[in-house]
Parts: sequence; C-alpha cells; structure tokens
Amino acid sequence: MPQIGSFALLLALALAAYSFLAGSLALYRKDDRLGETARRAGIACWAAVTVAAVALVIAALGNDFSVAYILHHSNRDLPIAYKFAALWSGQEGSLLFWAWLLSTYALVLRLRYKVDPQLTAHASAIIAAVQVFFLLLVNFAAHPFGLVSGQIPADGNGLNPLLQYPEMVIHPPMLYLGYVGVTVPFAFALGALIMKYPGEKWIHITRRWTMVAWLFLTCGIFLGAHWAYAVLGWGGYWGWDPVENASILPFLTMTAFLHSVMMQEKRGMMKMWNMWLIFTTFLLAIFGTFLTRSGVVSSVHAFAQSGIGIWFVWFLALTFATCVFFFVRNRETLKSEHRLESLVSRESSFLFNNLVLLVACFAVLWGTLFPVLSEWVTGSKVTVGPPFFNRVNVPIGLFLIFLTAVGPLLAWRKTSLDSLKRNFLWPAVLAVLTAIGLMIGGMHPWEDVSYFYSLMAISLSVLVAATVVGEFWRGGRVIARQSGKNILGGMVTITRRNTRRYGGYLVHFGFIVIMIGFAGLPFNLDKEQEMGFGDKMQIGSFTLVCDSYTQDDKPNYSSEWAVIDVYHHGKKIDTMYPERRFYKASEQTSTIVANRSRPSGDLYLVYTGRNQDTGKPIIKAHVNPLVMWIWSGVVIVVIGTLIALLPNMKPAKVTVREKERAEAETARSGVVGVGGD
Amino acid sequence: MATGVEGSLSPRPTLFGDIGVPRLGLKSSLAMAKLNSDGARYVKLPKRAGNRNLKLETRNSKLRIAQLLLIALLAIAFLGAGDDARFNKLGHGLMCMCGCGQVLLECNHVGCTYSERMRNELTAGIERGDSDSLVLQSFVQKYGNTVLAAPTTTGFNRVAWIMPFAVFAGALALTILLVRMWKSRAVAHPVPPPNLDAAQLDDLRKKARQETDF
Repeated sequence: MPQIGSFALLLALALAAYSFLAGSLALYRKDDRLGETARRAGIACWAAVTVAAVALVIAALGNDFSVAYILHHSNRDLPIAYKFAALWSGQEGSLLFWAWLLSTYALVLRLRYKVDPQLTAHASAIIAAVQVFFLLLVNFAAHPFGLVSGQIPADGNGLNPLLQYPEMVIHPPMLYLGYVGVTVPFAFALGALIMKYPGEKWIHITRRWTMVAWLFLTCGIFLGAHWAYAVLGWGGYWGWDPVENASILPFLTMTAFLHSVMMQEKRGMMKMWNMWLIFTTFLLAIFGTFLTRSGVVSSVHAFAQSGIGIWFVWFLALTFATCVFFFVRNRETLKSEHRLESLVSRESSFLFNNLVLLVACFAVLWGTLFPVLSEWVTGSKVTVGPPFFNRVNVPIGLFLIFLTAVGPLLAWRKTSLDSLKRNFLWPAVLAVLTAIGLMIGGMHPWEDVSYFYSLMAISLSVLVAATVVGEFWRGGRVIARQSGKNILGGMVTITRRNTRRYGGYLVHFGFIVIMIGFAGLPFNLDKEQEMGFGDKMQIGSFTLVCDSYTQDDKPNYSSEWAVIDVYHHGKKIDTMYPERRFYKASEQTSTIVANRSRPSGDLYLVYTGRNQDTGKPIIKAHVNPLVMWIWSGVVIVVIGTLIALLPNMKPAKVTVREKERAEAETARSGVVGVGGD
Repeated sequence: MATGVEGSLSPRPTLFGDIGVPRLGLKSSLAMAKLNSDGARYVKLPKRAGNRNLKLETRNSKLRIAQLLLIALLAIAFLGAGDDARFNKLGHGLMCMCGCGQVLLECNHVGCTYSERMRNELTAGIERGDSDSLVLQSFVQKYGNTVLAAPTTTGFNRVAWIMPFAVFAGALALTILLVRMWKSRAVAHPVPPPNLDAAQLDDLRKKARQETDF
C-alpha cells in the first residue's frame, strides 16, 4: 500500500502540474484542444489523489505499522471509525486529506465547465496551481507514506484520546471543506480579474460556491466548539487558541464578502473591495494553516511544531504578488457603476457591516500575532489569552448585532426616516422592555461589565429577532392578501420566492440565538469536591449526591466513573456518569464529560481524578446557563443557509380575463402610494 | 480630602500602575463620605452675591447627593466582592503554566502538576491580604510574563490594547469619509415627467424589482 500511495501522489503532482501549465498555455494561445487536455488531466489528478487517500486509509484499517504515520496515529484496538479518522489526525495525513478535498472541488468545477467554459478554464488553471503546492508538500515536505526504519513495531502508538470522539470524525472534514472551499471563489475571482471578465456573472457563479464553503466553515467551527465543550472537560467551548482563531479569520472575511457582494450584484459597486475580500479570505485560510502548522505561535492543538512553515510563507508571498500584479494591471475593469446616494441606505449598512467584520478579523489576528511581535520588539514573550480577546471583541460583536438589526430595514439607495421609524419602533420598544425585564430579574449591569455585555447582547438580539419576525410578517401578509392564504402560508411562499433574502434572515436569527447562548457565559458556576458514597454537593439550584463509583477494563482503555444522582428542589431528576479513561496504547488519560443539557442551562460534570489517600473520586461540576442556545442557533444557521442556496420559486402565471383586468386597473388607480422596500 | 484618598491607595507598586483605576476599599469610601459632608467645599461669598451663593449651595447639594449615591453604589459593589470573587477574577487572569495553554481556573488537564500548586499560591496570596497587583506580580516574578492571561497596560504591551480600537476608529472615520465623498459625487438631475409606454414602464418595474429583492 505505501508504494501505491507514494506513486499515486507523484502521479497526481505531475497531472496537476500539467493541468496548470497546459491550462495556462492554452488560455494564452487560445488553444481549446490543449485546454481540454488540461481539464482532463485535472480530472485524472483527482483519481490519483483519491488512490493515495484510500491507500492511507487501507494502511490504517490493515494496521500497517511499517508506515510511520499509521504507527504514530493508530493501534490495533482502535475502533474502525477512528482508524478511518486517522487520515486527518496528523500533519501528513491531514495535508493529504486537504489535497484530496481540493481535487474534489476542482473535479466538480471541471465537470461543470459548460457554465462558462472560458472563466472555468481560468479558474481551473488557478486551482491546479494551488493543487501543485499541496501535492509538493505531501510529496516532499510531509510525506504520509514515509516508512519506519529498522524493526516494525507490533502495535502502534494509538490515536490521541482527545480525538477518539464521534464528533472528531466529522469536525475536521467540515472545517477543511470550508477552508479548501474558499479556493473556488478565489480562483473564479482571480480568473475574472485576469480575463477582464465583463459584468457580474462570475459573482453569480461563485455565490453558491462561497455560501457552501461558508456553511462548511461555520459547521466546522461550531463542531469544534462542541467537541471542545463535550470532550476537553474544561466547561467552555472557545478558548481563543491560535488554531481556533485561525479558523475564524477567513470566516469573518467571507461573511463580509457574502454581504458586500450584494452591492456589486445589485448596484455595481465595491468591485475592487469584493475582489480583495475574496483574495484576503483565501490568503487568511492559508495563513491560518501556516500559523498552526509552523510552530510560530504556541497552540494546544496538534501540528504545532514542524518545518513546513517556510513552504507556506513562499506560497503566501507568491499568491499575494500574483493578486497584486493582476489587480494593478486590470483594475480599470473594477470601477463602480453607481455612487452612494444616502447615508441611511442598505449600501452604507453593508459598508459598516464590512467595517465591523474586518475590524473583528484584525483584532483576532492582532491578538494571535502579538506574542510574536512582542518577543521580536521587547525580547520578552507575553500571553494573549481569553481576557484580551473577550474585552476587545465583545464590544465589536455588540455593534455587529446592532447593525444586523438595522441593516435589513434599510432600503437600497435611500431610506426615509419615517419608514425607518415605522419598522424600527416596535422592535426597539421590545428590546428596551427586555432590558428592563432582565434588570428586574436580577441581571444588574452596574455590578460587572460582563453583566452589562450580557444584557446588551440579549436586548440587541431581541431587537434583531423582532425585525426578522417583522420582515417575515410583512412579506407573509402581502402574499396572504394576494393569494388568500393564511399568514404562515404567506411566509412560506415569500421565503420560497426569495430564498436568498429570507434564508439570510433565518441565518441572522440563528446567529442572534447563538449570541444569546454566549450571553450566559458570565453566569457560569463551578465547584470541585471530593465525593464518596452518599456525599453531597450543592451547585446553583442542583444537589448532587454520589451514589457509587466503580471501574472497568476494555481492550482500548480502562476506565473509572462515578454514579451521581441529581436533585432539583429536593426531587431526583437524573443520574449522571462522569468518567475518566486511561488509553493503553498512547498511555494517556482523558475525561468523558457527563452533560445534562436544557434550554435554561447545562449541568456539566467532570471526573477530574481520584484522591490517592481516600480513594474517593473528585468531581468538578459546572452550571453553564444557555449553552444549548448556541447549538440550536447553529442548526437554524444551517437551515437558513440551505434555504438561501435553493433556487427561487417563480411566481405562477395567472391568466386574467379582460374584464377582471379592467376591474383591477380601476382598483389600482385608487391606490395613493406604494410602500415597502 | 486629597489626603483621605491618597491614604486609601495601596502603598505597594501596582502592576497596571499608571492608567489603572485605584481600587477604593469600603473604609476609604466611608472616609470620603465624611470629608464630603463636613462642608469644606463651600465657597464663602459676599452677601450681595446671595442668589449666586444659594445656587452654588443647591448645586453643591446635588453634587453631594450624587457623590453619596456613587459611594453607596461602590460600597454595595465592594461589599459583594469577597475572597471567592477575587480568587475567581484573578484565577481567570492567569494561565496554567503546565503547557496546556488554558486559563488557570479552567485547566482540567488530568495529572497537571502546576494548576493545583498555582491555585494554592493564589489562595495563599489572597488570604495574606495582598492586593490584586501584588498577587499578580508575585506570579510574574515566579513564572515569568507569560503567566498573565492578557498583556498588561504598561510599556509596549499597551500597543496590544490600543491597536484594535485605533484601527476601529480609523476605519470608521475612513468609512464615514468615503460615504460622504461618494454621496457628494452623486449629481441630482431634475426628473422629467414620465412619458413612457407600457413596455418601458414594465422594464423599469422589472429593474426596480430586481434592485430591491434582497
């Protein structure tokens, strides 16, 4: 298998190089036949990378410990699903996985070349260049089929216990699908710039690609957060680690792009800006990979130490230089067609939305890189951890929620103050009432700044929710009047008629549900206690009683756990089993959290260890309010994005008789004005 | 009054020194109240300025009420801040030094040899009655600068805090400037009365729909 894999990787490199060189030459000489060979070489490249990826998986499933990568990331007793996940558990395998995903995206693009053959040919050549880079990496810098020297060990070192969790089988592929997916809109954008593509068709072609990449990245980020929450056992879901930060950087710029691209589609504005937003997104995806795999910044995640950083530096420099070169050469094609007409307009709201998202992106990047900068300037390293990121990003986030509320209420070109007042009054009243209600309920913003932030986050979220509901209501009412349906049916119809707009509103709604989940953070409680038979622990309104504690032995690990009865106001409501495992192959320990999740909050129990003197387990309990809202919000975001990806339903054509038309004309002539945006 | 406030400040060097807000204890708050209530701030004015004096007195009374309210608020806030709250606050401002990369109070790294010891040191510092800055400084001396979970607000570290907000302010100013510039470039033409046939009107309607369907 290793030989087949190695050969397939070399072949893939050759095919990608041919696809790039022949594709570029064909575009330069306008030689369609040569271009076709480049396209087919690209398709064949996918087959070769697939063979390599399958070879690595077979090596893992077959316990082929002659392959160094398998030796270090698998063992005989590892369950099959995790053996499969070994493909992306380490540096070399994950780069191969990356190359495979990129080839798969490129395959879809090359098969759908008829959408716009010329633009697709440009994009295909650009993607082939990116493929060459990753295939160079896996062939020469991080070879996944490297063989073990000397005697082959009987068993492997095993997979990191923290990765032995079902979500870990899904999270990395999702994240990589997002990262790699950015390459497609990048390739289309650069291709459009190179060929001085007239009009906005490339935007229409790439819109779905961008949304798909954004969706995967969103899922990847939140699955990672959920994994951290469910597995790492520290009671949190986001630690502002450089690897986490690296994932959020392209997410923020891509979100900005998805908003500002509408200005280009509708008004022919911000063409240069959009071009650079997508370039920046791609560069940040690569930069994030460089950050986390080069060891430049310390991270709790894997891949932190390796020598492949320099490859990424060169690739980044080359990509940036290419973007600048073509931008300077062809920027004349990116002139705006319209000018802004009013400060109170949808256009300016998008501008501010972009501003806030990019500042947030800068703040995260700045905080991530500051330790390196500080060491370089002062010679002394500092830590930039959660307190910094929270203090800087929370106010920016609140401003963003406010814009999410206001933006959709503004009309294109110009909005009258009356219309804004009309649409904004009730949501604003609701938000103020919410704030007052929360203060009466005990959330006192003057006690702590974090309470103030929570209060603001929830109140502004209510503002957004009210505006979103208002938009659905108004649209649904119009349809209901026209078609005689009920309002709910009208809402469904209006969503189907404009999936992008109403899907987008659902995404906004999902995000504010997530924000409400974040707002629970300052009210977290935690307590640690040694708990023998019958011992009690009081945390919040819960009483925990240790029923028993025991241990077990399985082929892959041995474990010990406690049986904890949970009482609420004196009534038994649940039994929980926090556990600690010792993985034999890797000789590492891991905790298995017991979590009781409800909309009001989670009761989260961790078996932290055992007192050596008494033999009693030590249990750490957390009460984390509103966490479930985060995961529910993500589901809404996914549904909203999927709706936005659907094509619009066309309004049914109705034959109107001459007499009815005359009646309708008469009725219409009586209408004084037309409202709506 | 000045003496009272100075006397309430921690005599120890502060880590966040120059721009940090001095922490006032309950005792100092009460001391301030006493000094404020003795009337030392009244200005003696000539009789002919009776009305002005009355106004000043009224203003001073309002000021005094506001001060008392502020003091009461501070007192309530600080009464609630016990050792547990301090432990929690300081513990979340420190990193566990075992290499797990987690905040001290969030390190659940099984078999961690550092977190337990560091927590005990933190508890000991609080029980000794050390100020927050002294507790943090003792950790920095023992473990180095990286033990602090966020950069301090002194020296080059200030740049870390200032830069994001400076960029935000700069970008905001630039955006507003850009919007104004774009807006001023738009030329308003008088609209002639519409004299269009039905097909042209349909086209315009279609365009309007297309431009407003997001």
